[in-house]
Amino acid sequence: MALPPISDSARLVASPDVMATRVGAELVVLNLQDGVYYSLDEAGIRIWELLQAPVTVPAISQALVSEYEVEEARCDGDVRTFVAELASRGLVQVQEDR
Amino acid sequence: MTVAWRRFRGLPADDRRLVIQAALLLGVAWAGLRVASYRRVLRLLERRGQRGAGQDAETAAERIAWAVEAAAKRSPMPMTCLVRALAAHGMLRQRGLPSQLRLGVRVRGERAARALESHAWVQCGTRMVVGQLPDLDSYRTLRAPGVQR
Repeated sequence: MALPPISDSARLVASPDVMATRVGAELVVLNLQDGVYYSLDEAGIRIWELLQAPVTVPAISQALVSEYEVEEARCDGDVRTFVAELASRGLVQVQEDR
Repeated sequence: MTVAWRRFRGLPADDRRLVIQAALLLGVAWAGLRVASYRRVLRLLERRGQRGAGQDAETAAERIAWAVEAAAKRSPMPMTCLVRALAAHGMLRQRGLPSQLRLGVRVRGERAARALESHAWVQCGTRMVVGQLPDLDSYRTLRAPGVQR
């Protein structure tokens, strides 16, 4: 299901309907709503950690740019795509400012 | 079937009631997971009741474990670890007893043969009620957002 683009001021947070655990180098995430499991790798894990408290897309991008050697514009695009995917699968809640 | 029925009829009344309740909750959990989310089924089953006077948690947990396994073995539907765990959890909570329902995962194999295995179990205090496995330690417990290990 395609969702509208996430604005810069929108606050995102991991859904309360999700449980997760580290298994080796990956993070396994279970959506309790549909029983589907997901696996996140290193970059996804870091974004997931940031999503444990309400956070904006720019804040996630800035954190990754400062922690990894990655170009800002590319990082921002990748983060937007990734969190949009998480939201479309019900793993993340998006609260837009009204 | 006849032997099983005679065996059931021969149980004390309390035990028969316990097995019937277990069978009912197993049925609710089994059907519930097919039409609703795990979270909704969990909420439905874990409504907390009052603890009975003089009720020993250890003994009650042991009897519930026995009843769930007895009912599950005779069910015409396959009773997964998750269904058994939900039923046991519901029975403990209805009696006002402590119950922790745990979901865990582990990854087996490499590359193309990698597979995710999940398991569910219930503890009442330190006592394992349902879901005990010899290699349970190999499963990593799933946690809700914001819960630190």
